[in-house]
Amino acid sequence: MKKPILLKFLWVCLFIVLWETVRLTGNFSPLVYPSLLSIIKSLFHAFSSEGIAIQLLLSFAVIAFGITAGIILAMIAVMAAHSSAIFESFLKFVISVFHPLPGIALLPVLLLWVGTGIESILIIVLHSVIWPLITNLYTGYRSIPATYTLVADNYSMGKKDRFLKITLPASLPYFLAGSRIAFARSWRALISAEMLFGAAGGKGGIGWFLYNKRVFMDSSGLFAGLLVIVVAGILTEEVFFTILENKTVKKWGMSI
Amino acid sequence: MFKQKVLPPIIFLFLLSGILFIVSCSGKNDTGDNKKLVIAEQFGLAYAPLQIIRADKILDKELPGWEIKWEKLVNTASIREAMLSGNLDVGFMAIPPFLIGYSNGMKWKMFTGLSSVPVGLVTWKDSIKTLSDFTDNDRIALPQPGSIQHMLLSMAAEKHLGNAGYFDNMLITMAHPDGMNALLQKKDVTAHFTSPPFIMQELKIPGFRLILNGKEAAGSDFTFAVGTVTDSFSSKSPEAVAAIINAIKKASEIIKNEPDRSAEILSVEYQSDKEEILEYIKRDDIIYSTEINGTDIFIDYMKKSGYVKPEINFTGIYYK
Repeated sequence: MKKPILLKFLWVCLFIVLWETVRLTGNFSPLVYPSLLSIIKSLFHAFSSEGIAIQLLLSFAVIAFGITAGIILAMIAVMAAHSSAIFESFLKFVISVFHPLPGIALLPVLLLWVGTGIESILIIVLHSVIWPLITNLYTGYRSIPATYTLVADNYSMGKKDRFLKITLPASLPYFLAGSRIAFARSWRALISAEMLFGAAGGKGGIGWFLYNKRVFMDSSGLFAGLLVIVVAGILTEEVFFTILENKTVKKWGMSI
Repeated sequence: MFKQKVLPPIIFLFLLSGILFIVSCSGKNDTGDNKKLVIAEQFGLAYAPLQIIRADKILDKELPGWEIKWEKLVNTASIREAMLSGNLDVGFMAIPPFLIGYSNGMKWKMFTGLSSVPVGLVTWKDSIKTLSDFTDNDRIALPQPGSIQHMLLSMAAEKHLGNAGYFDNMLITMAHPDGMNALLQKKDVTAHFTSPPFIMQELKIPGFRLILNGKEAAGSDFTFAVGTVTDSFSSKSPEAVAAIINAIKKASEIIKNEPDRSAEILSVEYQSDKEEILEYIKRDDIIYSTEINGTDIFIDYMKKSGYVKPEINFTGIYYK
C-alpha cells in the first residue's frame, strides 16, 4: 500500500518540475503560462477571500441533489420495467434517445422552456445522472443469480425482506459503478453549465468562478480554479467511491 | 521485482510531446510573413463600419499586396485570448475589456475609436421603476462580467445605491440576441443591459422601458467601441495600422453620405430589415468616429472598484 502512494507523489513532483522547466525555457507571457508560485498564491487568495469553498459546496450540493433524485427515480423506473414489459420497451427507447445527448446540448431548449434559474442546472445534472444509473441498476437487477431468489423463496421472504436482503446487496456493485459514472458525468455537465449560465443560484458555483477568472484575465486564478476542480474530482472519484467500495462490495467478496 | 519494458512508454511520451509541440507552434502566426493582417470583427450597429469595410473591400484598396483575413469570434474574451496567443493582430471591443487586459500585462494598445452608441438597462417589470426596486429574484442579462455593460451597471449601482457589487449576484451572462430572447419571454430575466440594435428593438415593445442609460451612468459621453492592436504587430507594420484608421474614416463617411446603400449592405450582414437599419444609422446618438473619449472615466472607476490593479500606470494605452 505504501509504494503506490510514493509513486503518485513522484508523478506530482515530476509534473511540477516539467511545468516550471517549460515555463522558464519558453519565454512565455505570465498571462499564458503563469508560474506555480503565482497559482498557489491565487489558490490561497481564492480560499481566504473569494469564497471558493462556498462555491465548491454549492456545486456539490447541486450534484448531491441531482444524484439522490436520480437514484430514486432510477429505482422506481427499474422496478416498473421489471414488472411491465411494455414499460420496459418504452424505457429502453427513452434511454436510447436521451443517453447520447450531452446535457449542455439541451441548454438552449431549457433556456426557452424553464428559463435561466437554478432549475435548468438541476435538470441538466439530473439528465446526466439518470440514464447511466438506470442502465446500470437494470443490469444489476437482471444479473442477480437465480440461486439467491430460490433461497428467498425457500425462506418464503416477504417483498420488503426480498428487496432489502437480496435485491439491494446483490445489485450493489452495479449500483456503485453506475453512481461513479453518474458523478463523473454530472460533475462535467455542471461545470460547463455554470460557465454558461452565470450566477444562477445567486452565488454561482465553481464553473462561474472559472468564468470570472477568464473574463478578468486572471490566468493564475484560472489555473488555481482548475486545480481545485481536479482535486475535488480526485477526492470524490478516487477516495470517496473507493472507500465506499472497500467497505461494502469488496469486503463482502462480491467484486475485486 | 517485475521486469518492466521501457520502450513502449518512451515511444508514447515521445509521440505525445511531438503532438504538443506541433499544436503549440501552429497557434502562432508565421512571423516571417510581413504582409498578413488578421482582424476580428464583432456584430451589432456599434461595429457597422467594419462590415462596410469588408463588404466594400476598402482595406484591400488601402493595403495592396496584403493578405487580409477577417475572423468571427463569439465574444470579447475570446478575441482578447486570440490576440494574446498571436492568432489575431487587430480586434474591436469596448474600453473596459481592453483595460483589464492591459492591467494584466497584455502588450497591446488602442489605436482608434469606432463608435459611440446609446446603451442602457431595459426592463418589462412594472414594479421596477428605479435601480433600488430590484429584488433577489430578479435577473439582469448582460454579455459578460467585466464588459462595458457590467461596468456601467456597477457605476450606476455605486452612484445610486452606494455599492458597486449590488447587482453582481443577479447577473446572467448572455450574448445580446440570447439576452433579448430571454427578456421577451418575461420570465426570470427581468432586465437586459444592451446596445443597438437590440436596445431599440426592445424599447419598441409596449411596456418595455429604459430605467438607466449609459451616459447617465458614466456621467458623460464615451466611446463605445475602440480598435486595439498588439504591440508586436503595430511595431512591425505601422503602415497597416494607419491604413485601418483611414479605412474606418472612409467607412464612416460612407455611412453618413450613402445611408441607403449602407443600410442595404448591413441588412444583408445582420439578416434584418433594411428600413429598420436605415432608421437606426440616421439617429443622432449613433456616431462613428476615430476619436476615443471617456477612457479616464473607466480607468478611474475600475481602479477605485478594484476591477484593475490601482498601481497600474495607464499612460501607454494609446498607439501614436
